[in-house]
Amino acid sequence: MKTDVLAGRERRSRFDPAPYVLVSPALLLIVLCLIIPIFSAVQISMTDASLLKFSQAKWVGVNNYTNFFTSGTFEKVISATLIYVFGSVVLTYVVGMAAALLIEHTERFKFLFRSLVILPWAVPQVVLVLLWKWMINPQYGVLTYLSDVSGMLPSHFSWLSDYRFAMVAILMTTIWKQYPLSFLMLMAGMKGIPKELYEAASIDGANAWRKFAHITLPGLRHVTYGLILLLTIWSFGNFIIVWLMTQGGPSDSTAVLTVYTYLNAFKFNNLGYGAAIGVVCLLLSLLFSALYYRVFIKKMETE
Amino acid sequence: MRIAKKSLHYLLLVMFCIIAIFPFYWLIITSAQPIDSLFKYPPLFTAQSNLLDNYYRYIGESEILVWLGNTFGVSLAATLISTLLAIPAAYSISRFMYKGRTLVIFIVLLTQMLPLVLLIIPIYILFSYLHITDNIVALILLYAVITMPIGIWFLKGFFDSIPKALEEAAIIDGCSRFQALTRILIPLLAPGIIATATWSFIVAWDEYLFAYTLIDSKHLFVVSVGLSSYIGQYSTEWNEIMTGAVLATLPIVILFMYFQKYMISGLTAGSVKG
Repeated sequence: MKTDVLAGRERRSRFDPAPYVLVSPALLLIVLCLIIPIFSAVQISMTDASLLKFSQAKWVGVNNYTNFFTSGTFEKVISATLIYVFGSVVLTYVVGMAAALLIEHTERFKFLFRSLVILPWAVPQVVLVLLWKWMINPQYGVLTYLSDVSGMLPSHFSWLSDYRFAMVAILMTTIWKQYPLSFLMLMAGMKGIPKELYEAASIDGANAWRKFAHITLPGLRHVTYGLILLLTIWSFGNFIIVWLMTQGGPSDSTAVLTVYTYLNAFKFNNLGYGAAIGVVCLLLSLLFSALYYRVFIKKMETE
Repeated sequence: MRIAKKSLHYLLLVMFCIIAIFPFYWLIITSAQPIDSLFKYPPLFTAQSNLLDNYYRYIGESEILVWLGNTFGVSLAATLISTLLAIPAAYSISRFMYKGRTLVIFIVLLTQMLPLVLLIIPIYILFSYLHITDNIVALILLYAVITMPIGIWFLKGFFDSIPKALEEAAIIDGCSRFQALTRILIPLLAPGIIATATWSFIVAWDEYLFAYTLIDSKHLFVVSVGLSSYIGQYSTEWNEIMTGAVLATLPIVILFMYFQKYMISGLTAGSVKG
C-alpha cells in the first residue's frame, strides 16, 4: 500500500488538501471537456438536432437508436467495424511480433535495423493516407504497377472501388503505421525473459518453434494482454485513416462506426442520429474493455 | 546449415526493412517529380528533376508555411499547458493515498475509450453557441485536454519508478514538500517529462478531426487539414501534395529520432506495467 510521503509528520492533521489541489486543475479540464460532453452527447442522441437548428431540437426518445438498428446499413456498419478491429489488432500484433523476433536474433547492426523498422510510426496519419492512396492510385500508382507486373491483380486495378479490396487497403495502411508500437512493446517484453530458459531448452534439444511456443509466448503474456487491449480501443476509435481513404465507401462497405457517425452528423446534417451511432460505438468499446478486463487483466493480477 | 539459416534470417530482415522504408522513398521521389513525369505508367522509379526545385516553387506558391506555423504554434502551446497540468496531477496520484484517488485514475483511463468522433458533436454545438468555432485558441485548449490523460498516465509511471526515500531524505534535511518536488523530483524526472511532452506534441501535430470540423478559414488551417484539402480538387497534383507531406513529416521524424529512447521508456513505464 502506498502512503503519504510525509506520513510521519502529517499524522496529526486529519485532512490534507494537497493532493486534491494538485490534481484539480487537470481533472477539472478533463471532466469539463471530455466527460460532461459525453453525457451531453447521449442527450443529443435522443433528439432530432441538426447542424442548423440544434437550439430548437425536439426530443425523440430512442427513435434514433431503433432507426439505426432496423436500417439496412446496421449490419454492414457492425461487420465493417468488427472486420477492421479484428483485422488490425491481429495483424498489427503478428507483424510486430515478426519484426521483434527478426531483430532480437540479429547480431550486427541491431540498432540500425531497429531504427529503420520503427520509422513508419513517425508518419502523421494524414500523410500516411495520402501516401498510400497515391501508391495504390489506379492509373499511376506504384503498387498498382507492381501487382500488375507480378500478375496478382488485373492491370489498373482500383483498390478503393472494390468492396473487398477497399478494406484490404485500409488494413494495409493501418498496419504499416501501427506495427512499430507492438514491435517496441514486444521487444521490451523479450528483454525480461531470462536467457537461462533458452539455454536449458537448447540442452534439452528443443527446436526454435518449441522455444517460441513454450518460452517466448508465455513470457510475453503480460505485454500481450496490455497491447491487445490498447490496440482494440484504438481501432474502435480510429477515424482518420478510414475517413480519408474511402469515407466509408464503396456503398458503405468500409463504413466503420466512427466514420458512419461523422457522415450522419456532419455530412447528412443529422447530429442526433450521428450521436446515437457514436454512442453505440462507445458502448461496444466499453463492453469489450470490461469483458477483456474481467477475463485477462484480473487473471494477470492474481497470478 | 548455420549459414543457410543466417542468410535466410538476413534476407527476411532486409525484406522487412524494404517494406518499412519503401513508402518513404516513394514519398520523397514523388515530391521531387516534375508534373509531366508524374503521370507515367509504368511509374518512374527515380526523380526526374532537382530535388529542391519543387520545394522552392511549392513553398512560394502555396500556404504551406502558414499551415506549418499554425500547427507548430498550436501543438507547442497545447503541449505546454498539458504537461504543466499533468505533472502535479501525476504527482498527486503517484505519491498520495486519499479518498477519490481511484476515481481519478478511473476517469483518466476512461477518457482513452471515448471515441473523439462522438465527442466532437457536443463540442461543435457548444462552440457554435459560444461563437468560438474557427478559433485557434479554442483549438489549443482542446488539444491540451486531449493529450492530458495520456500525459498523466506516462508521468505517473515515471513518478512510481523513483523511490520515495529520496524525497523523505530531502524533507528530513529541511526541504519543504514543494522544494522536494522542484529540486529533487523534477530534475530526476526530466527524461520522463521530455518523453511525455514529445508524445503530446506528436499527438497534437497529428490531430485532424477537431481542426477539420471546427476551423473554416484557410489561413487558420493546421497542416493535416491543409494537405487533405487537396484531395478531390479537379486535378490532383500529387507531387505538390507529397512536397507538403514531406514538410509536414520532417519535423516529427527528427523529433522522433532524437527522442526515441525517451519515448520508448514512456510507453513501457506507463502502459506495460499497467
